[in-house]
Amino acid sequence: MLNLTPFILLAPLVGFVALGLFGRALPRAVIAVIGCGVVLIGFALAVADLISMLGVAPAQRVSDVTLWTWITAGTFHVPFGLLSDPLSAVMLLVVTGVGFLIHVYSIGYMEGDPGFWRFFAFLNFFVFAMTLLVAADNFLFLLVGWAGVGLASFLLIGFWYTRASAAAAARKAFVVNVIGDFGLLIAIFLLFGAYHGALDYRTVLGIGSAQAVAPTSVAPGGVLLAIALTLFVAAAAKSAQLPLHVWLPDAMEGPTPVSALIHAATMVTAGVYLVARAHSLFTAAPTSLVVVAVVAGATAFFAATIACVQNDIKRILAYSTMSQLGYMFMGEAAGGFSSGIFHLVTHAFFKALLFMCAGAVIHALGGEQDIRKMGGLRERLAGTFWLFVVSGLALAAIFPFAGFWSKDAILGAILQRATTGGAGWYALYAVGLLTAGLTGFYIFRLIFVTFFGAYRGAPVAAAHGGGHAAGGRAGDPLAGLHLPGLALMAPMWVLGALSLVGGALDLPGSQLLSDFLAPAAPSAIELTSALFWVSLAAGLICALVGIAIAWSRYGQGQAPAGDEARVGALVVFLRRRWFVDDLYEGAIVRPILALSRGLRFGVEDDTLEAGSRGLGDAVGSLSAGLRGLQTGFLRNYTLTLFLGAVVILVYFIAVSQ
Amino acid sequence: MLLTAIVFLPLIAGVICMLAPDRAARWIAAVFTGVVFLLSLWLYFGLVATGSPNFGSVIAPQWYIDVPWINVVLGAFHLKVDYALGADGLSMTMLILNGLLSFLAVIGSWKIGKRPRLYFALLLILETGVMGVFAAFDLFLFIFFWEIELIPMFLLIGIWGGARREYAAWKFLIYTLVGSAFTLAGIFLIYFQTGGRDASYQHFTQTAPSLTGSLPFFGGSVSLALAIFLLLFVGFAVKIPMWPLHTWLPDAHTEAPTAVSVLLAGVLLKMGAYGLIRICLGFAPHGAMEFAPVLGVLAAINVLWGAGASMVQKDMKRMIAYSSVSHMGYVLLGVAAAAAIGTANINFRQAALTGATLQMFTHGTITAMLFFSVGVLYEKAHTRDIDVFGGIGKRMPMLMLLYSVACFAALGLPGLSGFVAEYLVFTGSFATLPVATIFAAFGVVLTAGYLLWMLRRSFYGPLNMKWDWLTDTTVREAFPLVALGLVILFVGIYPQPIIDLLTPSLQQMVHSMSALAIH
Repeated sequence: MLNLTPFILLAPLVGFVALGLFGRALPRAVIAVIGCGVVLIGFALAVADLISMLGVAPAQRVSDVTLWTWITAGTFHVPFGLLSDPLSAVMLLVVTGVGFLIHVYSIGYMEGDPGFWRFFAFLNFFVFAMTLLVAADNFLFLLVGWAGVGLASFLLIGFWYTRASAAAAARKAFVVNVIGDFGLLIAIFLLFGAYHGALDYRTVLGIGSAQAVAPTSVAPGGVLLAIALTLFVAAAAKSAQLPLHVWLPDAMEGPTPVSALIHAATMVTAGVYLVARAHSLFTAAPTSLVVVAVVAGATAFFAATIACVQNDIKRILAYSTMSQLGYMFMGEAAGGFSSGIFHLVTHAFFKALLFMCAGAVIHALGGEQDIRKMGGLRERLAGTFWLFVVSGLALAAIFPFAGFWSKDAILGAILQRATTGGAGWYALYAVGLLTAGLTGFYIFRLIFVTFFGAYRGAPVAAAHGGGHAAGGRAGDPLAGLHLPGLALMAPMWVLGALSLVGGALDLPGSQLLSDFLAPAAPSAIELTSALFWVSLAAGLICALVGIAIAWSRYGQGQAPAGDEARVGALVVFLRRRWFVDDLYEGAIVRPILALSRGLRFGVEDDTLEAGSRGLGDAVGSLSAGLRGLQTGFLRNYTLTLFLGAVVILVYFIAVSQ
Repeated sequence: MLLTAIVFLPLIAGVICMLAPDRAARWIAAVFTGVVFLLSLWLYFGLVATGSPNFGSVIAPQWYIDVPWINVVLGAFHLKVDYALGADGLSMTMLILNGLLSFLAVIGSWKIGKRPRLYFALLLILETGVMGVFAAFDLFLFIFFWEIELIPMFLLIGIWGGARREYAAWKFLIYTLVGSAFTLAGIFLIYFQTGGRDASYQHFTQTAPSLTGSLPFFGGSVSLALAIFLLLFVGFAVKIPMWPLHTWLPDAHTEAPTAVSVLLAGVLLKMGAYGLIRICLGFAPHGAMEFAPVLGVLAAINVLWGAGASMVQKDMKRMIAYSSVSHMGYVLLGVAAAAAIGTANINFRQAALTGATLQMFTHGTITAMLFFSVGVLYEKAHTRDIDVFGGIGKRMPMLMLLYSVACFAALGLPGLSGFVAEYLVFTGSFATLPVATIFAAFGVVLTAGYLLWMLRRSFYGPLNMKWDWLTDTTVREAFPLVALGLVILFVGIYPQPIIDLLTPSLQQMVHSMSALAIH
C-alpha cells in the first residue's frame, strides 16, 4: 500500500516557504498558481493514497512510516512518523480537496488585496499544519499540528491586522486555542506516564498493531477518565464547544475564504477528528462520553438559538458551525464515531459553500455584512442564490441533500444509544430534534431576508475599474453590484454538486463510508434498522417546521428588525449570547488581572521590596555622598576600585585563616 | 589554550578599546567578539571534526587545562586554587551562547554615543567574566569570575542606563553580592568538608555526594548536604532569579540599555541556573533531593508570578523582564524534577534535566531577540509604553514579523525552540511533580495572553497617526534579530545536536543521583 503522506505535507510547505520568501516580488498569477497548485498536488497524492488503500484488505489498511527521530534524550525517543489509515485518508481528502477549492475561490475574493501573496502563504501554511495534524502517527506531532493550525488561524483572522476588531479577535482565538493546547499537553503527560513513555498511536490506540492493548489494562479508570477529558478540553477549544466557544464568532473578522476553510470546513473539525481517532480511550472511560454528550448537546442548542437572532451574515454561519460541530460530537458520544466523521465531511461541503455564497454576497455589495441592509438579491445574484438554497437545504437536512443523510445518521445513533442507555440519551435526542428545527429556521431566515423582498441597503458603489459592474437602470441602488467572477463561482458549483449528492457516500444500505472507516472509527448503528427510518422522518419534519416558521416570518422579505421588538427580553438574551462573553470578562479576565495587579503592586512592591528599598536608600545616599566628594571622577575610578576590591578579596582568602 | 583564549581575548580587547580612539572602539569590539564567537563554536565543531565526538562530562572535560595558581598552607588551613578551565556539554552550550550574544550585543550597540570606549571595554570585560564562570573547573576560580562579572554590569547599568539607573545598578549589585556571600560560605563549607585540599570539580564530583552527617542549627540540626545545597543556592537563586529574590531584575532591565538587557537576561541569568545544575545538583545531590519538593513549588510560583506580573506591565521591557522570571521557572522545575525522590525511572530525570538545560539555551536566544526588538523600537520612538503605540506594524512590518516570531517562540509554539525545552521539562516533571507541572504548564496560557496582548496593542490595529513617521528596521538592526530567529527555528526543528551535546554531562549527573536514590 502506498503512503505518499510525507509528500502531501511537503507540497503546501514548499508553497508556504516559496511564497513567504519570494511572494512579495512575484506577480499575482504566479502566486495564485503556486498557492493553488501545491494544494492540488496534495489532493492528487491523497487520491492516489486512497486508491491504493482501497486495493488492499480492510484489515491491512494501515501504513505507518517513521521519517526521523526528532528528540532522543537518554532512552526517551520521539520519532516523527506519518500514518495513513482510512480515517486520516478521509481527513486528508477533505483538507486538500475542499482546501483546493477555497484556494481557487480566494484568487477571486482577494483579487485587489495588497497582501495577496501573504494570504496565500498563510493559507498554504494552514494546509501544511492541518495535514500534519491529521497524518501524525503520535500525540506529540498531533500537538505540533494542533498548535500550527492555531497559529495559522491567528495569522489569518488577524490578516487585516490594521483593523482593531480583527487584531482583538485573532488574539482571543489564539489564547482560547492555547487553553486547548494546554489540555492536550496534560493528556500527553498522562499518556506518557500510563504507557511508559510511548505516545505513538500504535502503542496507545492499537492502530496497526496486531495485539492491541486495552486501555483498561494499562491505567486505572480515574487516569483514563482524566486522559479522555483533557483530550476533550483540547477538542472543545479547537471545535468551539461550550464553554470554550467564544473565539469562533469573533474569528469571522478574517477574510471570508478563511472562514470557509478554517472556521467551517477543516480546522474547527479537528476536535471531532481527535475524538474519533482516540475513540478507544473515550470508550474505555464511558463517563467521558457522557460529558461529551452533555457539552455537545448544550452547544448545538445554544449556538442554534443565538444564530436565530444574529444579523451579521457571517456570524449566523459561525454559530451554525458551532451548532453543527455539536451534532458531530453528539454522534460520537453516542458511539457513532463514523457518523460524526460522515457529518464532518458533508458539513465541509455545504458549510464551505455557505460561506462562499456569503462571501459572494458581501463581495457583490462591497463589504456589507448586515442582512438587514440586504434583500431582493435573488434575481441579481441568481447563481449565488440557488447555491445558497442548495447548501441551506443541505444544512437544514432536507431530503435528499447531503446533510440529510449525515445528520440523521447522528440522530439515529443517538436514538440507538437511547434504547439501551436510558432517559438522558432520549433527552439528548430531543435536543437534537429541537436543534434541527432551529437550524431550518435560522438558515432560511438568512436566505429569505437576504434574497427576498426589496433591497434595503444603501446604493452600492461601482466596482473599481468597472469590469464586474452589473450595469442597469438609472437610480438602481444595485447598479454597482460586483458580480462574482469565474474564480468565485467555479468552486461554488463544485461544492454545490457535492452538497447535493454527498450523502451518497453513506446511504442506508450501501454504507460506503462507514464500512471504509470501520477499522478506524466504529459506527453505532445499522443504518437500515426500522429505528433509523423513524428517526429520519422525525428529523425531516422538525427541519421542515423550522423552515415553515422562517417562511411565515420572513418569506415576504421582511426585515428582521420589526418583529423582534415584541419578544424583547429573549432577543436581548440571545443577542448578548446568553451573557457568556460578559461572564468571562467579569468572572475570569478581570479577576486574573486584578490578582496580578494585587500581587505585583501590593505584595511585591510593599513587602518583598521593603527591605531592599531600605538598603537601596542607604546605599544611594552613600553613593551621593561619595559623588559629592569626587564629582566627575567617581565613575571612571569605580572600575579600578572594584577590580582592586576583588584582588584584595583573593589576597584575603589566600592569607587569612 | 582554546579556552584561555576565549576567556581572556575579550579582556585584552577591552584594554585595546580603552586605548583606541572613540570611533574605532566599536570595530575593535565587533572584531574581537566575532573572533571569540568563532572560537567558541570551534569548541563544538573542533570535537565534531574528530569524527566520533565526545563532548565530555564533568569528570572528563574537553579542552582541559590545569595550572596551579594559589597554594597556601597555614597550619591546618590549606587553600589551593588552580587555574583550571574545561568544557563539557553543559558549559559548551553556555560558552557558545555567550559568544553569540556578546557579538550581537556589540552589533546592537553600534550607535552608542556616550563614552563608547568605556562602554565597549566594559562589554568585553563582562564577556571575560561570564566566559570564565562557564569555563572554570575549579570552584574558587568559578566564584572569582562570578564576582568579576558584577563590576562591568554594575557600571553598564549605572552609567548608560535610564532615568533611575543608579537605583537599579545598586539594587543589582547589592542583591547579587548578598547572595554570593552565601554561596562563598557554601563553597568554603564544601571545600573543607571534602578534605580541604582540592577545589576542582572532579574532586567534588567524586567526594561531595557521599558526604553525610548533620550540622547544628539553632538548637536543631540540618543535614550537611542540605546545608551545603542551600548556602550555595542562595547566590544562584538571586541570579536566576527565583521568587521572592527576583525584584532586582525588572528594575535592572528597565534601566539597562538594550544590549546590556540582552546580556543580562540572555547569559547572566544562566549563570545562576548553571551554578544550580553544575554545583548544587552536581556536588550536593542529597541536598537537592531533600529540597526538590520545595523547589518544585517555588518553580511553579516563579512561572505564574512572573506571568501574572507581565500581564499588568505597561512598559514593554518590564514585561519581558518579568517573562524572564516566568521562563526561568521552567529551568527550576526541570532541576526539581531531576532531583525529586520517588521516580524509579531514570528517563524522567534525564528528560527533565535535558529540558532545563535546553531551556537555558533557548531562553537565552528568545529573550535576547525580544529585548533586541524592543531596543529597535525604543531607539526610534524613545518610549516603550505599550499603550501609546497602536498599529505601528503598518510602518514596521519587518519588525512586527521578527518580534512576533520571538513572541511565538517565547510562548512555546511547536516548531520553535521554546517548545522543545518546555516539553522536555514538563514530560520529565509530570511524573514526579504533577501538581507543580500543571500549574507551570498553565503559565504557557498566560504567556500567550500577555505577549499577544502586547503585540495587539502596539503593532496591530489601526495606525496611531502619531507614529506615522516611524521607519522599519535597518539591515544593521535586523541582523541580530534574524540571526537569533534562525537559531530559534533551527533548534525548534532539529534540537538533536544540542541534546547530544548536553547528554554526556547530564547523564553522569543523573546516574549519580539515581545511584544515591537507591541507597
